[in-house]
Amino acid sequence: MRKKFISERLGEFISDLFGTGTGWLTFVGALILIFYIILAVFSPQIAPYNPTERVGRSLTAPNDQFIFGTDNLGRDVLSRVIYGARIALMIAFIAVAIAAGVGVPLGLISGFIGGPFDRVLTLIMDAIYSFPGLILAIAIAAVLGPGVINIAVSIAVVYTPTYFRVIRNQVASVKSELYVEAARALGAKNYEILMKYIFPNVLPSIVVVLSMNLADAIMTEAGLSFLGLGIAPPTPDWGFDLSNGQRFVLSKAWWGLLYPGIAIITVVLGFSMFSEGLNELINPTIRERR
Amino acid sequence: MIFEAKDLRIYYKTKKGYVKAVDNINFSVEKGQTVGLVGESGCGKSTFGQGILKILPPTTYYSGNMRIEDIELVGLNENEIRKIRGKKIGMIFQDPMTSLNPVMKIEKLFFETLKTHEPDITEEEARERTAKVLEKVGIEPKRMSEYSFQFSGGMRQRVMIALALVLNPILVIADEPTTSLDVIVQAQIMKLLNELRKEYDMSMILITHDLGVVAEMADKICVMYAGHIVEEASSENLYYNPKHPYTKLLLKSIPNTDINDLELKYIPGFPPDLSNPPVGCRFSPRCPFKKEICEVKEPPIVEVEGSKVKCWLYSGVEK
Amino acid sequence: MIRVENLKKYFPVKRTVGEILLRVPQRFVKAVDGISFTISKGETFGLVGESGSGKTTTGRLMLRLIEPTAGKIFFEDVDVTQLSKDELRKFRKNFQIIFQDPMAALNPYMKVGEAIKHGLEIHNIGGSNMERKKLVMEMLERVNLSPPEDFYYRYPHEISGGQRQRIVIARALILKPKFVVADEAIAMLDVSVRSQLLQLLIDLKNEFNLTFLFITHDLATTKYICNKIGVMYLGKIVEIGKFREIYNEPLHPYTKALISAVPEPDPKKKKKKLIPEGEVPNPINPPPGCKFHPRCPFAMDICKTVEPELKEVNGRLIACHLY
Repeated sequence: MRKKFISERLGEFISDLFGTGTGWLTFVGALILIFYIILAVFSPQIAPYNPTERVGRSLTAPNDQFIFGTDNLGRDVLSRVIYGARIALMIAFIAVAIAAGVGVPLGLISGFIGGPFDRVLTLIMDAIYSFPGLILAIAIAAVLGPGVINIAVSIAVVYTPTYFRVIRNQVASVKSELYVEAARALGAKNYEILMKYIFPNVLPSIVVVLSMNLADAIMTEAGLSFLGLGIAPPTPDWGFDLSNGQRFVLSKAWWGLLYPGIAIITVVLGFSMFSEGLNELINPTIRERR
Repeated sequence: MIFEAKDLRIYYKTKKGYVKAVDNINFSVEKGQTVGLVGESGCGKSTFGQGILKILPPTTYYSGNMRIEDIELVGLNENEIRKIRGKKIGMIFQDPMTSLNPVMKIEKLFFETLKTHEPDITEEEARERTAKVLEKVGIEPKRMSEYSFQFSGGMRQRVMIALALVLNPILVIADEPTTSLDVIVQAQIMKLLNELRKEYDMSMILITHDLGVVAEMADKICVMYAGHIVEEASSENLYYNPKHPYTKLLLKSIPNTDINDLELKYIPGFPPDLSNPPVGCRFSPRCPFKKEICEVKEPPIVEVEGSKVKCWLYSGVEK
Repeated sequence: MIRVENLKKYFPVKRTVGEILLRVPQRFVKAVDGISFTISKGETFGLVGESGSGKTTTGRLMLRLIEPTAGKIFFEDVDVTQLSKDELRKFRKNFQIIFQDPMAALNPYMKVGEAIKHGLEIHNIGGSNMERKKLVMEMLERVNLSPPEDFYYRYPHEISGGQRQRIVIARALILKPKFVVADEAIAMLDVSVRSQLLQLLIDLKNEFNLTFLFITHDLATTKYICNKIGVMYLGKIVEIGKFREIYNEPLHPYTKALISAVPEPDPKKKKKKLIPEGEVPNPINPPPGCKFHPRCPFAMDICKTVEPELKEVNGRLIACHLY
């Protein structure tokens, strides 16, 4: 095969990407995500003011000085939204990492071994799964108390069964594929079969669930802090600002509510769009069929 | 003439560009005739079959003419072609498992099909007609309340045939109808198709890679290679007096039943990539008789001893 | 070299909760029901039958990809059914399988070269990675995939069906096995590709001095490769013997049907066909007596009640009351 230049491959990749509608979707989703990640990483440089200090009069409407206005304590809403991205993404990433870190290996093993072990584990996971997510998270968060890691853990507990179920079911079906039997006929060890033949085939679903879960985790985190179970004030947090802002909507201070709300909606939308397209792009057989 | 294709081109789109799966072919089916369409996979025969019903992706490019009775098919839009599908042209696919909806009972499947073309039909009427046609294909009518997955492979193929026949089409396209079946069931299905064709007085296009299968029932055989029809002849002529080198090699590659003939013959190489087909005669890279001109200029179709051949060996023009 | 004795595989039929409560006895699908045969070194044994006859299960049993219910399989005096899991894994080098559907038999996320190489890694053949890669390249060349560099780095979906099957063959043969099961290895391919691959298998068989179990439903292809055939119907062997004798003069009505069903390309030779009605019956509830009798044109009264035993007729074994 002729070696291809990187630019040539990049070109093919881009033409692949935009060959269809989902390509665009992924691309726009990725742009939104990159935007928020930049906000989160460079918030000290980007934010015009310190988000936890009083910088103007309370409830100033958006103007030249405060583009998004100020809240009831005179803090800059724009700066708080920017810093809020930091907390939201951090908690979401940690939570999802914990959930995947626990759920994926358990799912792999459970699906591969099968038998009573699999049944018991599935039962436990299903029990967790059948709880309404937010209520479970509230309960755990209430026990653990505030703090970034504690919030992340309580969200992770909610999402671990998602990984477990998806991976377990995939493994159980991939396990009966002919190429797994072929590997066994070659004399491969169970560990090799699991890592070389089964894992690569379930990896795409992991990635897709991962990106979808990030969106959910952000929603849950916002929900927790909206209910006052999140990060302790005055740390900027979208959910907390949302609940804080809604108290003043009646006094016509819509900006305290609107901007954190938009931030939550767009970042969740970004993740969803991204994960939607990722599913197709990552799978070589689906990709080929187009 | 029931069906006729003139200068037909069907190109479908892939990442690599347009695949010239059907490239300028002329093809016709008379009333009551069975025409075999034979070739290796990747020669465009299935694309042609699906192209007649326009069930290819919407990005597919068509040009030329395609007529069923007096209806021109090439220019039809999705709504218009839907009235042709099933009603005028029935289709039997290779894999009856994936082409029958598994969550629908057989009777429902037939009812839906009938309803698309006869919106006023009652369930009662539909059931009656379903029973009749199922009986014809050798399935007990009472099994119509079962689901397709409850049938064996051969029985499913019978259901497919019944589904293709229920609207009394004038032309049936059978795309590798027996390839996924065992020999005995294959023989049963072929026998059934032959009987039904006579009974319903319909025409049939039988697409297959197995010359042995068509020889037993086709009146005329078209051999397709790389998007072209390279030879068209009656099945006897084709077998006893094949003209095109491809046909000759294809015939030799069929395992015959003579136990003393133990030499395996095959055509070396693969069919070409149709997004970038070879210049000149498309078979020339694999042809043992190729001349200089074959690699330069596409051969015309000439008539030799009752067969139509697309090969320079018979055109009488030596460069 | 290979001796199979009274091999059985019964699959339990799942019972519903109601059936368990009502103590309906456990039923079994007798996929393979007491078959015996031997294959000598260098021989090719053809196992012929329709789907549902148990021929594929037999192939898998012989490699112990599924565990037999009863019976013994001797491979050069080693009883394969008695090997421990670890011994079996190392023993697998000696026998390999070529599957029917090459697309399904290859991991879609593994480059085809790596797929072939993995077998070498498992059995620690060839010292270094470089050496193994070289062996794979040679093997690719041997199965006529050249230049091998063109194929090594491709994924299964990027090559054609015939090429994929060559990869599967290469993967099986690179371990230098002594015994190979070819399970409908060429059934899914086009006629002309089929002949190419059959020729390749015959060449490789001679070159590597292989012993073959050739499983197929198509009797026409067996004549090129098989010395001996066994015809299976519903888990039992109904006729077994030298290929030439059976092909020239099939005795069992089922064998006759299989032979006459082979499509004939000569339009003038529209043979009188002996096609039996119906299909292979449900193996959960097989008919009593001779299992073929409901479809058999020569069925007698005795066939409906007494199951025929294999007995010697004209130098071969047949299970039929006609003889």
